[in-house]
Amino acid sequence: MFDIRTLLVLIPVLPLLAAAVTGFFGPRFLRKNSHWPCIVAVASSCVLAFLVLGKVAHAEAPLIERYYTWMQTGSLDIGLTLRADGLTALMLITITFVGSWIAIFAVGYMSHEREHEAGYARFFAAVALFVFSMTLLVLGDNYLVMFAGWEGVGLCSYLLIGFWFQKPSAAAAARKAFLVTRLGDAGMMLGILLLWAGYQYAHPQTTASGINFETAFTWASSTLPDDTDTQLFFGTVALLLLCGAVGKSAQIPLYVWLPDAMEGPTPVSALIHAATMVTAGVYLVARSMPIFHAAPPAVLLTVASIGAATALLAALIALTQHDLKRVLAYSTISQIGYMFLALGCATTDGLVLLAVTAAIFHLFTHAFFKALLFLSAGSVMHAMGNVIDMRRFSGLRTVLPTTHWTFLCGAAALAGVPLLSGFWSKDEILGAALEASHHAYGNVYMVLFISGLVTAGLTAFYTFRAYFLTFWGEVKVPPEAGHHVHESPPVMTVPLMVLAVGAVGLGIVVQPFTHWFGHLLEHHWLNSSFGGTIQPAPHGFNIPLMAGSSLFALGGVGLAWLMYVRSPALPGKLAGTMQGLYQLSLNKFHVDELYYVFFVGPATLFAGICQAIDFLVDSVVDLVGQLPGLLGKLVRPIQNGLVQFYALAMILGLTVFLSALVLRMAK
Amino acid sequence: MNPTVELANVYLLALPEIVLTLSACLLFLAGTFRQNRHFWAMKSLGILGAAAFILALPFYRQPVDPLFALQAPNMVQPIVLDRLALLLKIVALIGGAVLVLFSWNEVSDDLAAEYHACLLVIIAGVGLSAMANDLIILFLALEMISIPTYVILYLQKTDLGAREAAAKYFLLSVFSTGLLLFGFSYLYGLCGTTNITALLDGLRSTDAGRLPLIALVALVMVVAGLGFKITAVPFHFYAPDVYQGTSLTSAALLAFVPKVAGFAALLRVLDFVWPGNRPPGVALGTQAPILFWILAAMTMTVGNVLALLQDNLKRILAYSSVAHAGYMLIGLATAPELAHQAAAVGGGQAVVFYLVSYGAMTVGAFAVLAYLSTPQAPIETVDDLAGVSRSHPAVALMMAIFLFSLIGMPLTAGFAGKFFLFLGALEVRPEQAVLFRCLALIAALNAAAGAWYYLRIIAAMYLRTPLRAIDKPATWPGLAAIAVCAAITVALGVYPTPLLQAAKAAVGQ
Amino acid sequence: MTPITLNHYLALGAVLFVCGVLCMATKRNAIGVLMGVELVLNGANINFVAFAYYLRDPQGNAVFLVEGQVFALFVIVLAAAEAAIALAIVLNFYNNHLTVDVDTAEELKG
Repeated sequence: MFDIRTLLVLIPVLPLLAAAVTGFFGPRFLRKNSHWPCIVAVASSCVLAFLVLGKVAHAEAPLIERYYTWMQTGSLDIGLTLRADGLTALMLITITFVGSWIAIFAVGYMSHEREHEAGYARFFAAVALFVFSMTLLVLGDNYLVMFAGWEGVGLCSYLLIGFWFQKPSAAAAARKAFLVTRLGDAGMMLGILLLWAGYQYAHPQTTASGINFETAFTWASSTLPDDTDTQLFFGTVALLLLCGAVGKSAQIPLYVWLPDAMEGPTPVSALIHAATMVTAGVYLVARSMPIFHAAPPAVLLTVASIGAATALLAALIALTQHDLKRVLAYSTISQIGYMFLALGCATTDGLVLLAVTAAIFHLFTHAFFKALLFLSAGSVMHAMGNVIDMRRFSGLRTVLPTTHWTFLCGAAALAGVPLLSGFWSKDEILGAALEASHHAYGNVYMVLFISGLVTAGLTAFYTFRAYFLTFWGEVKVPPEAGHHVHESPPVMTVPLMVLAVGAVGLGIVVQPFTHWFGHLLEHHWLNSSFGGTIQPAPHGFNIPLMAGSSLFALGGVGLAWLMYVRSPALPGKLAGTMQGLYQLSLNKFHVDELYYVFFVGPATLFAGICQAIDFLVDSVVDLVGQLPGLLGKLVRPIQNGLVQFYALAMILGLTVFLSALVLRMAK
Repeated sequence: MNPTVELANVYLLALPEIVLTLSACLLFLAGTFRQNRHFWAMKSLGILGAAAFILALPFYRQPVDPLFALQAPNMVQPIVLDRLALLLKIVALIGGAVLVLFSWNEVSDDLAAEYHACLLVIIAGVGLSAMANDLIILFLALEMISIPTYVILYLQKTDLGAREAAAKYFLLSVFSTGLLLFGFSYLYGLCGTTNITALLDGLRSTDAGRLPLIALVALVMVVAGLGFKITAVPFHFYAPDVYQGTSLTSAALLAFVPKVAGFAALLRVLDFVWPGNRPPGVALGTQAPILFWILAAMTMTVGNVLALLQDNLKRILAYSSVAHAGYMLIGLATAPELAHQAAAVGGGQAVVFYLVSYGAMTVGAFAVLAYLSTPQAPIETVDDLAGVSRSHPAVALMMAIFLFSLIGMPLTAGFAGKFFLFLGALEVRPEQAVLFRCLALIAALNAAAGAWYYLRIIAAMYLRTPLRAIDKPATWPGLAAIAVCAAITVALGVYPTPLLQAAKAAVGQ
Repeated sequence: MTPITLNHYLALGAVLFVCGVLCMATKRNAIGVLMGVELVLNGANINFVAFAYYLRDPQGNAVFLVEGQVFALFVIVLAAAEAAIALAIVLNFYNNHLTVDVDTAEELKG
């Protein structure tokens, strides 16, 4: 029906048009119908994304279309070029599919905003603009187009976090998010420029542009093993790109913005700060894998270490949070850390496919179950009158039956309960880490693997802690919720159910047995990027590993159950039971205590330490942000308003320059 | 060739400037008879149009690459119309038209004729300084910009701050002229000629490694004198004070016009322009890049960190203009390095591109402030802009475009400009690579930090409720000025290629 | 007695320049500051005229270089024009501040 050229350009353009229409006409004409352009456009993009996937699956090489020349002079030639390959197609589907359902959910969630129509239109315009930027990001065929999308999503994120700008905390969070990620972006921009300049220098006669993916990757994958200069160069580029990825994907040390970003409306948290935008860093590293691969192995080790450390730290912080959305936010940070851990395992040709597939597969499944969890949390918030503190409500499983089931699906998937989608993807990551421990820096990778395993247990624990606290126990509803607490309307519950099906079933369908995922990535992307040097990953299951990780996951769930469901009821039961059984219960109670002493106690202590670290990192990042201002305060008195002083300063500057140059000349 | 005929040809090159100046004289005279700001603004637009027409006339009959045919090959003329001059003259005329539109309602009736006459002389001065190939002409052209600027500063506002601003600007500007002249005198002494081409040829023939001390003094003095015009630290001190004290129209003028003239003069005098048959070379040796390196690093850092602390919008924009001058100085630092290698984007080229981008976004931002201000309720601080997006959605959107461009968001002129400047810094060959990579790093960090204060303004416009109602009636000329600037800002971001190539042709490679 | 050479004039120009700068930086009075600036300009003028008089062509013959003299004339004219504007600005300044001491103008700073 459409040729690929039209298809590729329509995917970002439709949401852009929707954003423009909603932005210009929304407040005046569309009013309460402002959601329609956004939903229609994103859903159409979703359909088109599936068509693109179909075309990609039948193509031998990546489909690349150049639309116009963005900037050209001398040997600089950068086009607005879009590409479709396995990675892009998968990202597109994730973005537009999850995005469509989130947009539909938002109609219900934002219903109270419909009263003041300007805000309602603003919300959907920004969401559509976000989908435009995000699709542009993944479609771009060179780093500059990608960067354009990259900054675009940052901007939309800023607009949406600050959506309820009346709250000072929301405005502050928005600014923090924008500025912290921009700090990373500065590094990324330098990386892109350096890549271009380096390519130009290494290939003086060429007219190709080093920031085109194909050009850069061909160069990177043809680097000789003994060419240390080039390897160091790629190492520098890779680390600079990593700066951008770390900022956007909220990894140590730039993760501090994401928990605060929960000030935005919950659908935004689901779409931008869980499912799509924050995974842009994973996409960037995955996309640039040939460059990371050509760099010295220490660079990939850095990626993996950052990932594993973030995963562990964020999981520990999540243990003690009371705000449901913040638990999910830290969980997002932790899960993205997992993806970085996976990417960092691509140390040899044989591991590349395994590592990248694991990371992107987890990205994919995570988008579903995390979006689901956020939306379910949103549904809870909606019913509870915007209360999100888990200490103030409980036992909601009877009050919100649909939300309860969907949350449970998401939580089980996130926890890695066997056979659900999170289980498969997490398993692939752990498998990749285990595999990497046989190669360079093996011992370190072994440590990272173990920390990943521990994180899996912690994840299961904090997820089900949140689940039990919210949905189990006696029914408690905060006064803000009003008298008739009821389940959300179908416009909200249907997206939940759709995403729940995805969270439960998608994982098993697309990868572990069919290998669709790995196949798409290998044949339609990685092979061309690496010039055919990568080796296919071994199929098959690592049964002991699966058993081990299931054990950790189920252990975490069980522990959460013990602590938050069983134990609170324990004292009541004890009083009414017979003596013999009492002894038994007591013993079990001892077991509980043992659990507490050996697992929960240290974990809580450690979580406390981690919160201190969190505070420290946050303060340091804040301090770095304050530095320019402090420097300014230092310099400001010089601007004292006196003409004579200004003249004197000019002449002093002149003298200093002159003497510096004369001295330099004399040397 | 008959020298009289040659001189007549030379005059023809400056015909648009002559028309502008003569019309300005008429305006000064006729201002007494008619006191109506709209009338005189319309007249100025007409005069600018006429000048543009005259400028375009020679290209009507031979549109293909006629430029180098207009001048003698050895460029001994006092003025030359090469591509750089042509490009900057077009920029000056467009900028002049925008400034006229912008000040349509901002000047008082009784001073309108004088104001517009001064503006025309300034535009003529910019054109002339772009064409100058002789130190005397260059000096006169720069004075043609400075002296009417003093008059405008003196005429426009009469409160305490404006007086202070006028006095400060005047004294420091004259002082900077003195520095420039002192530098010129040594340059003249080095080669015995004031013709810039001949002078640079003479300097090039000396051993670049062992420049006489006097040449170094000349270099530093010229850079200091012109550094005042481009607000390079430490010659920038006047900028925030003067912008704050004076009217928005004058501030926009000061932020844009002297920078164009200053950078044009720096490019020419320091041998960064290599048109046509002239090979790249640097007459003032290897000292210029390091000087500009230091200037660039200092200028952007000081500009950005001091802008962080400001509340007054004019001061923010003043420090922002300092910071952007710093970015442009990167181009001057890299220009000599890149000239000898096959660089994609030369330093001078990036500077010219950024000058135009910077002009559009900064003048646009000032125009928005002027558009929203009334004499009773001027827009002074960030708070005054709170909630503008609701009362004036279109203007707020365009202001957001300017600010995002100043931040350097992709698809705006500011991004493209910064991209080319930073690219140049990373393209420098290994001998100096580390040095210039550091500069690029400093610039990138500055760009990241700079986002903070622009974002504050955007946040105020979009994310806050109005503190007071802004009820300025819509006026089309002000809106037109803003729209032109916004269009240029977006167009240069989306499709920078034409200007980029024009800039390349202008400075040569 | 040693003949007066180019270097003597250049030294004079430099001394005038330094005097001008010092004058500018130390005087509070706007007119005084302006006088300092004039000294700087005249230092440059002396250089111009001296160079024009003393410079030799590559063969070592004395030539009369008209540009230096012309430059000096232009500078003198422009200095006069600037003095006229200075008068207006200083007068205006006096109207507001009731003094011509420029260090009273420190409202704009920071």
